[in-house]
Amino acid sequence: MKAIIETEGLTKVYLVDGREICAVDNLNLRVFEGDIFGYLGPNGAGKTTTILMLLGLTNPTSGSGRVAEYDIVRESKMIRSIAGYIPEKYGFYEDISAYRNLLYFARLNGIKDDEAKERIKWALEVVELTDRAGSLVGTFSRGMKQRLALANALIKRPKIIFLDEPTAGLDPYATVNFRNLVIKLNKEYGMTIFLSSHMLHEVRQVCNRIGFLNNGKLVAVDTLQGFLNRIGNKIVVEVTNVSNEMIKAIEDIEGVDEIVKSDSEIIIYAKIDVRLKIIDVVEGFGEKILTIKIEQPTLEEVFFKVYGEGK
Amino acid sequence: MSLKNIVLKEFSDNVASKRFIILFAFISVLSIIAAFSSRIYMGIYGTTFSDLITQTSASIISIIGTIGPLIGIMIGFDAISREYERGSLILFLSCPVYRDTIINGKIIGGIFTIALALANSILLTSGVILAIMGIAPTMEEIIRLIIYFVAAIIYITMYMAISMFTSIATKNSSMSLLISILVWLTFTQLIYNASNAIGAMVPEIYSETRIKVITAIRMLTPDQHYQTFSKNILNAKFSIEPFSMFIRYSAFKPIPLYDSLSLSWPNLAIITSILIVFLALSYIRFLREEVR
Repeated sequence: MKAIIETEGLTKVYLVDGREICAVDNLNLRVFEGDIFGYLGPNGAGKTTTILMLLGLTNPTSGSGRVAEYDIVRESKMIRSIAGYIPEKYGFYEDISAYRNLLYFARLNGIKDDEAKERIKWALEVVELTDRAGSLVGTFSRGMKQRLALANALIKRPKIIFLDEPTAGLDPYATVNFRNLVIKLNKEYGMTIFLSSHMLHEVRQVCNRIGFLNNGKLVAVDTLQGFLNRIGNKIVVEVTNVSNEMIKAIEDIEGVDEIVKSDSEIIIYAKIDVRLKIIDVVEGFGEKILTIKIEQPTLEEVFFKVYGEGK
Repeated sequence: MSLKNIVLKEFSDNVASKRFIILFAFISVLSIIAAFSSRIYMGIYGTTFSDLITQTSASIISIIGTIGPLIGIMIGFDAISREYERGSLILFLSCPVYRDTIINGKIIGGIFTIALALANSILLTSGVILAIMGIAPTMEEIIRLIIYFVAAIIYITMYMAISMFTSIATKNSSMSLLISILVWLTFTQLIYNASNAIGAMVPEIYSETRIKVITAIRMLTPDQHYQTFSKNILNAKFSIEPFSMFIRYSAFKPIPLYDSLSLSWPNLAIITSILIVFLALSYIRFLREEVR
């Protein structure tokens, strides 16, 4: 696999009210061509700052990076000609049509008018806005504006698209619609997607690789399955009556990592399948098991486990 | 390529904006009135085209001196801050353009807008004078008018540069507008009025000293330099000492173009330097601004 993004010790320190704040701390990141990379982290973790540095819109304090083999400091103009970007907050010119907006930004991208018109036509078709091309952007809904922003990014025929919190503020319908579009761009046009988000379920639904960022530090990078495997088996047991002694006895079973108890339900995280042993223990206490099953862990659980390890 | 597109976009946005149309209409009406009010000089022996366009208090010089700065401020005060507020700046910046291209485009587009407004104003006045009074400018007067036109563009662009700087520095359009207007009022009202107040402290009445004090203080403002330059360039018969109270009409003698230029170029140089300072400040501030 060929890396399209590579950073080494990328660091950004902001000066806020005379205090130095490290927004991105010694980041060593690799994103491969064809990935849908989920850049996950809570608000203020440094996700946007990372993207701005990768696009050369803000200079790193130290460290280096390359996007599609272009240096993020010295060749950032080249990066911006092959990378699409949808910022978290942006605004088109509301008093002119969607088409005129796209044409204007296409020209700023140095695309000749004839070529630009063809690409706009194509991009509007991809995002399904062809019939609204002539409408003023001011009349667009949030979801339509987001699709227009995607069309705007597509006009460059980008190798990679950076999406910063792309579904924030979208209604469920628009969210699904947008997500499918992103997958389509990746599958049909082979575009690499760099998606920053604080929403686990979003990342889970589209991304094949995920990086966890917290306080400017990259805590962990892995495939989705890799992360889920870290949790191991999640065994949910429903018992007639749970005592502290029983919990202790289950904890002592070999391979059990962690137990979470809620009412009559016990959740057991274990490296191996220990269901039979659990049944033995419960029956040893003279209680009955109502249900016992292995569940797929949620990414939330991974999230807290990863951050728990990071702390 | 990119620069040309930004210039065109800025120019057409400016010209199509409601606020420009309003100011444009306003200054057009004043320019026509200026031409008509110059009729009081009709019939005076030896009245020239230059007299007609400069001698009344409603002349084109004072109209451009009062309304002109507003046009400059109107173009500049939200030039960058509105892009921030709307969120379009980040879309700009994510294109493969350098930041100075954006600010250059805004400046050049603004200068074209200013040139359009001023050309309209000057042509209207001259046209009406020509039409109703039948007095045509000589070749030299046309050259003087063109020099004045260029100087007026520089003067108004200076106000645009000041307000563009406040736009970049505050990132807030309404705050930028307020500061720009305060700067303008400081030049045209505060310092002007203060010069009278300080001049009044000079004990002797009608003294040379008092006039010198008042003139010296007013020369602190670019507006006074504009007035002085314009009068010297457009109507060379006009005194180079604008505030003398003893000047009689017959005392004015024509000054050749070359002499009026050499007398008044320092005034234009001062306006130009203020313009350059604020353009430089705008550049530095905008290019060093961090995207967050």
